[in-house]
Amino acid sequence: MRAVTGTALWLVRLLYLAFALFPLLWLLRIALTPDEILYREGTTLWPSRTTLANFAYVIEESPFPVFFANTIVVALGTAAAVTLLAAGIGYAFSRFRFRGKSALMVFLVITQLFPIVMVITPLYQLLAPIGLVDTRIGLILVFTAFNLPFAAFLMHSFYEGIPAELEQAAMIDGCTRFQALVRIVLPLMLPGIGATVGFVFTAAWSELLFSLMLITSESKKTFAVGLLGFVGKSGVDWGQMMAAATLALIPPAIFFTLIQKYLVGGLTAGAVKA
Amino acid sequence: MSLAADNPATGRSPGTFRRRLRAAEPYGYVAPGLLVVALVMLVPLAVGISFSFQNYVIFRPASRGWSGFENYAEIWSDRTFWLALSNTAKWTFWSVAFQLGLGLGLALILNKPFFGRAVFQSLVFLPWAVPTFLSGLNWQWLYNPLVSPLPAALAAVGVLDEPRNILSDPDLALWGPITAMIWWGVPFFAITLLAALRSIPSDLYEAAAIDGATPWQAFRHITVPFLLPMITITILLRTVWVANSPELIFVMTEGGPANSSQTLPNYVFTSAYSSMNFGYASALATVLMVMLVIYSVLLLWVRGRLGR
Amino acid sequence: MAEVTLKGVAKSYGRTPAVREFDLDIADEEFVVFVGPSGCGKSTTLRMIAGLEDITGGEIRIGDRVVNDLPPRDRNISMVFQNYALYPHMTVRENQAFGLRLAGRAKEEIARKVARASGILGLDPYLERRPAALSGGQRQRVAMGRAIVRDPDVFLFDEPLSNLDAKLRGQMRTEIKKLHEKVRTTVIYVTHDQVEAMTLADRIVVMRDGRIEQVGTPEEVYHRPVSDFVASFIGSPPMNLLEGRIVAEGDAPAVALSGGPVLPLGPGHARLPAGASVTLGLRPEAIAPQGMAGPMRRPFAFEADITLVEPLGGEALIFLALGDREMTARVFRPPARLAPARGVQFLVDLAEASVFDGGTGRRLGDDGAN
Ligand SMILES: Nc1ncnc2c1ncn2[C@@H]1O[C@H](COP(=O)(O)OP(=O)(O)OP(=O)(O)O)[C@@H](O)[C@H]1O
Ligand SMILES: [Mg+2]
Repeated sequence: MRAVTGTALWLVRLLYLAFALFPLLWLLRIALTPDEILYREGTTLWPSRTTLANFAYVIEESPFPVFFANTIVVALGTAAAVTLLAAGIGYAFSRFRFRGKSALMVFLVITQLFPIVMVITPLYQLLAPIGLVDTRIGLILVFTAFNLPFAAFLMHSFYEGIPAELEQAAMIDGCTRFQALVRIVLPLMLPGIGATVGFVFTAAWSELLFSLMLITSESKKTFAVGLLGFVGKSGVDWGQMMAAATLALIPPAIFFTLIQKYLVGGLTAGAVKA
Repeated sequence: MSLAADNPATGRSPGTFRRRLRAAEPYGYVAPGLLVVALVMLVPLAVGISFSFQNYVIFRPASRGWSGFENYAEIWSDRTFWLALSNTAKWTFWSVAFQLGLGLGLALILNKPFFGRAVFQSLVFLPWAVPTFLSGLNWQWLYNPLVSPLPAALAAVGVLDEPRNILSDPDLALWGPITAMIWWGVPFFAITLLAALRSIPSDLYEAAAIDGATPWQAFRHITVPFLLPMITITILLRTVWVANSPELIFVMTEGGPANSSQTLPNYVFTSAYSSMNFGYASALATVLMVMLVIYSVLLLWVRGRLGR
Repeated sequence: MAEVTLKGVAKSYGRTPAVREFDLDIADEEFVVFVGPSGCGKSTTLRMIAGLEDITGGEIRIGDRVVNDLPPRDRNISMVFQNYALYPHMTVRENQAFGLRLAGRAKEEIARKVARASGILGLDPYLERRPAALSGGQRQRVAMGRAIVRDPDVFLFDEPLSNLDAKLRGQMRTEIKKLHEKVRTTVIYVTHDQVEAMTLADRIVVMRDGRIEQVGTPEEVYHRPVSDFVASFIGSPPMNLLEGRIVAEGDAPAVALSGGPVLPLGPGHARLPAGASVTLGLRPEAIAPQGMAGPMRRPFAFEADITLVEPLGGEALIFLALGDREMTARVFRPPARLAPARGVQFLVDLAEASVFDGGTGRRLGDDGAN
């Protein structure tokens, strides 16, 4: 009986694994398949020959390296800005009692209800006169606002995992509140900060609609927009596109793999209150 | 050392000043973030809502002006809206239901130690790291019978009559984006539910086992009640997010064929950027938002009742 | 080196008061212990002295400074928390040195002071460890080390021993006492363990519902509790409280216990009116079976049933039924034959009796004359 359940469990685990990985595997498979045999061997699990030509093309000849650089700048900038601002909000929520606190928390939850599609046009019209349309800074600003509420809750939950007595001990030892934050709390928050940075980086890396609407010049496009441009072109080169997509997956995959443990830990700390 | 002690007359005022300063401190920490959110989300939102009461078509600037509820009246008689509304419900319900079911299963699997769990976890969570629209492209290819074995496999198990692309079948097209959404979103549910599972004190299970509870009873009477608050909150956040998200549909079917997979957010997007009718698009978006607010309030209300 | 003065200190959270009108003068080098039931405001008071909570009213002085609005770091105090609050990312050495480093002290001075504190507390073997690698007792010592290296004016302790097991708690209690003898700094110590209060304190402050119920030396609080509340809170097992009525006044006042004997009171209670309802308080060690009793100043004999005997080694608790009331007696060096029995002769020393008002619970009469 026990052996049967054990085997069944492994079967379930393998099914999950297959479901999660097969699409990614297929991405890689097409990227590695030479153009000539792509359609002929379209449905076989692995092509008879593989090639790195598509990757070479994407890296050496296509504009994708520029798109990549743009995306990295935007995603890192967003992650840094969001984490900094969320650190402040989470800190205030976790360590202070103040008038309007619960109203603010409700407000942040409500922002999650806004349809993004609704604000794109007004945002474009507001950003255009101050010269923030078609700039990476403008994109960072917008991503920051949209990722901040969730990140603030995440940070809040990480702060809750650190006893307030530690800061109080530090303040008695001679710290100002700010010093206590910097010297005691933040070092202990590193996993939480890492998780938040990773989470926001991944989200910003993936964003499509704003990038599509707010960025027009080729030299500032993020790879999401670039990739979509690929689709629009006639005679899509699937292999090259898949190669670009595979490369685009690497940074968020690395980030996310590094942080997921802390993400679970942070949410566990917060779950007690949820 | 202390001025206050040396000079009792002035001892008061720096004190109250300091106290005021301290009372203001938390606002200092929240202000920058809230300012950004208010400027970038709230202001455009208000502007967007005001569009919905205007006749505002980009190529007809001359006819721009306030139009009251005209756009809303037009929505009422717009067949595409009703189709998109029912599609949105279907798209959201099935996406979230499967994400919840599979995510809960995954969280339960991950909550028990087994050989290779850490590696397993990072692999099954990987889809979450894939940009949404990219997962859309990815599944678009997977449904293409020319370059993927999936349609053949679906035909083999009897889901399809022959290996063809479901994205071009009006009856099935919506299921393309739904599968992509499920695939991408399961890890989010798994992560939050795993976190909630970990916060259940293990001695509860020990006590239940001593009291003679079967595993099913323990799950029913300990795990479920403990998870319920987290589940409702996650469902709420995800439902709203999925309902609001046009990307997968935009990338995979563009609402087609013949609007058969049109959802509200994508309809808003296409109304705004294909027909350039911002007034109408904004009215659609406002309707969507109002419905989501009602849904959230209802869900939280139900959650509050259950909690009692 | 400093006195601490609290004058009309009050604290409320929103509308609910946590501490009200708190007046207390603490002398330099004094060891003061706050005791009281959970939620009575001990921690809140301590944290107001530390500067971790704003005060809603009144004035706090440390030395000659009003510290009402000074942040904690400017008050020259140190504090040991119930959960120790050691910095998890610092070693034992760094934990202790942190405050001195912030104050910008010289390296050699820091090293010397940390070495001295570690020496006193026996922390030398663990200096390079992180708190996570220490036992509960060791962590407790590090917390104390961190408090003493800074030579503060005042030490604040908030239930520092409550997370330790009974044996370790006893040991650490002795060490804290020795430490105070060595460093002679003003100490304010919060506990709800009355044994800690009795053994450590120069003066005990008994709190109830955010107010001071009684301030006094351990002897005063123990022998002359101002109310039945203090009487029942201090002492283990607690004082026997028996309801009764004054039946005679004048030169020979007496109290009749409900359904029990009539006990003569001392001349100090002469002014109590007959018929007044009172609560009579008798310490368990003032009661003993005849033959086991020590010397008594005003012995009174009565008969009761022994319902249960709890031997504790060097002493024993005897539970007796007197009329419809239960009482506890505590005897030292109990003989082995002690067992439940009916109609046993007991002696009680009425010189040790306290009388409280049956309504208000306040202490009655001036029993200085007892
Ligand atoms: N942050 C707070 N908000 C509201 N009320 C509080 C807060 N902190 C304490 N209180 C209330 O103030 C009162 C005194 O609390 P305090 O922590 O001083 O009690 P205590 O005597 O230390 O009890 P214990 O022995 O349980 O530690 C309690 O009734 C408590 O509920
Ligand atoms: Mg306390």
